Amino acid sequence: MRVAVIGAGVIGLSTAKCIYEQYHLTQGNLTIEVYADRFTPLTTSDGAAGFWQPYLYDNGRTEETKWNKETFDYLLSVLSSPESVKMGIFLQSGYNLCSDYAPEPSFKDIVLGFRHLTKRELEMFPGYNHGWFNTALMIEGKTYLPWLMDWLQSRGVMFYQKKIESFKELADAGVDIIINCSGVRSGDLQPDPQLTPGRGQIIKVDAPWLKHWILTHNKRSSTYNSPYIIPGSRLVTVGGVFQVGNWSEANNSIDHKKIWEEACHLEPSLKHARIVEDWAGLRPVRTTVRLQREKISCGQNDIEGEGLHSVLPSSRSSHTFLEFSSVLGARAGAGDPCWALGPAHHLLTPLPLAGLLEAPAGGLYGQRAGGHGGQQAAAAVHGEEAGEDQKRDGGESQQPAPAQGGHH
Amino acid sequence: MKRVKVVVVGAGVIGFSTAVCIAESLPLCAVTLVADRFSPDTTSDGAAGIMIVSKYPDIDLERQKRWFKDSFDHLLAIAQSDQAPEAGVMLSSGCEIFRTVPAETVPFWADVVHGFRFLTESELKRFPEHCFGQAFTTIKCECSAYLPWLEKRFRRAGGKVQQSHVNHLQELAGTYDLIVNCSGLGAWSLVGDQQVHPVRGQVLKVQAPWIKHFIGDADGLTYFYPGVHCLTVGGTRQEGDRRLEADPAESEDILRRCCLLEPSLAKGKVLGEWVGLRPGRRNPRVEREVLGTQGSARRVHVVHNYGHGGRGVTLAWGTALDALGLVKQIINETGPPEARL
Repeated sequence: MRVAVIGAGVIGLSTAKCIYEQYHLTQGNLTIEVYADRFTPLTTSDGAAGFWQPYLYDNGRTEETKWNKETFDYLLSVLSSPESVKMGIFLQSGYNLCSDYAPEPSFKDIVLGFRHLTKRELEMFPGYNHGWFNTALMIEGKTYLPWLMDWLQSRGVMFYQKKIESFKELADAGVDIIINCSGVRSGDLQPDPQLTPGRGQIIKVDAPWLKHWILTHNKRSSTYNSPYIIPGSRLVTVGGVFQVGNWSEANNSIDHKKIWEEACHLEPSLKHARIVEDWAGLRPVRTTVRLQREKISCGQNDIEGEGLHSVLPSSRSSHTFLEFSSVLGARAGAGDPCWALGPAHHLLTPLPLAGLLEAPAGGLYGQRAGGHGGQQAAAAVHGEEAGEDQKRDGGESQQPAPAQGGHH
Repeated sequence: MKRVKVVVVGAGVIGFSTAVCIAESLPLCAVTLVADRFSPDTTSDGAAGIMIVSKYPDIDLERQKRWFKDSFDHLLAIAQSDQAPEAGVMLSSGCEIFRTVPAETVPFWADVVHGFRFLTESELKRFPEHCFGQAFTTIKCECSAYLPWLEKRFRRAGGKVQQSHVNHLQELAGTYDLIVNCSGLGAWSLVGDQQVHPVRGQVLKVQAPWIKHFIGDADGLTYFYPGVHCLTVGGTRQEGDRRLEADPAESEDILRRCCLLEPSLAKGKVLGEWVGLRPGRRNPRVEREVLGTQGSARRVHVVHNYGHGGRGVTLAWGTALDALGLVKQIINETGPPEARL
């Protein structure tokens, strides 16, 4: 069974890990190949600060909050393992600052030690009169991705630096399952008008006296267009901007000036800190997470696909592959099916896959149960709103513009 | 009008804090700081410098609270300014954990630190041998940076610095109008204070930049405090022990105890060890005295500010302000220098 993953950011590598963990014992001759034109440290995930925090509100999508919790709890359990430092995972506390009163965030019961900021704490941040303090998790891409690659390589996963131009290319090469985790440039593989970049720019600063993250939320500016300061294990990530539709990966001096001035205003101790580098990345923004099964004609074979999202190996993503296995089993008798998977758009969300599959479950799996042995009817399962469940990093979070509502 | 000549003895955090207070507040004073040892060779230099305090038995509680609050407010303002990195001052969050529930679950300084709360049951699960904990945000002040920063401030306020060893305070009576004694452990010989005794502390400096929170066992023996560049990991509390060399067996034990609290600490890189002798005393001595000088009718006014044990950094500014108050008192009472007793 040849599985090809397109994309070597945190989504692609985590997905490969999940597949291996779930199937390497049960699937005979399982091989996993990862194709990407960019590998760590050049992926979007690498530039990110690596801060876990969803958007403030799930707006009633309590399932997302539940999935986030499972992911957070899973990461927390990894934290106490001897590998945690090598994985780039650690705890850090900090401040969510609001310019006006805001209801408590949906993640308040997930993070550790959530509480409101006291009056004296708020005095440290003029212009902000409401907010919260809690302990959350950091997962640094520049450390986590190499760890994932080592983990995968030592288990026989092959890596190829190659830009895949089409699903057909892989299908023709004999791949059985394709998982598309190509992030913001998924449109190159399959046009997706809903996909757009949400450009972010960050400044990496040497300021090791800072031990707390600070995020600001302004009603006037959109999410991540107001300052944030996120210390990492070596450098501090300072942001932010969020520019929808801007494909430029070049650093912009006007953005730099805005980010720097606002950050120094928020945290005066930064004023004389040494700036190490600027970086710009493209958040893969989409109004919804896309999880879709498609039937694509590919010469003599019909290719069926299913999109899936995977970020960090969440406790629930393994469930997704159990679903896959029942499909695979059913198809085994039909020769060599090719599976082309729809794009995985949501970069760096802690959203477990199984939750997405369960949502409108009847459609996909009901049909499969009845339709084995012959052609599968294409069915679409659309996942939940992108963006609520963000792993916050150097701006690599989505902006689900219309549906966000609430505070943002 | 002739200026009042003040000498501050001691160049640790108490000495320099007091000297700065006096020099900045009292332009009529010409302040000289005299010490045999300066940063990085003072006791203050190796201290973690975390603002945490326990109650002294014999000092009025309101006064202790004022010491802590004044120090906290002073350092917080620095932490919030562009001076923070140069001064080595930073905010620090973490927890204190207890093996038995303390008599006082909410200490007198709880409303001075930020966000004081108890640890939840689930948070305590991490520490199977501890049953109670307090979480808060406080301030850390690293004297290897803070002392040079204070010295700059002192000189800018007109202060003079002199390196020399003082055997007895009376030696200074001829040159100065007022002596401020911030000699720490040195007070034992300098003024014959038998109450002052060393409390040896050994610590490790460990590089583990992924650790962002402090954890301190309330017994004061096991703790780690993340600093600007490294963690201060400790420790020991050995009364009367004057050994200045680090003991490798103690280092091993310190690491073992701290790794129980934070396993990832084992992945840190040990940069070195350090030993300091805390100037232990039942209570800090912040009071004025008149010293007779041998073979002369002349007496000299002294303000004592020493004996802070392991709480020097924590109480430096607050006690310095107290000492400043005593200096002002003396100046007001004694009038111009010519009229001194």
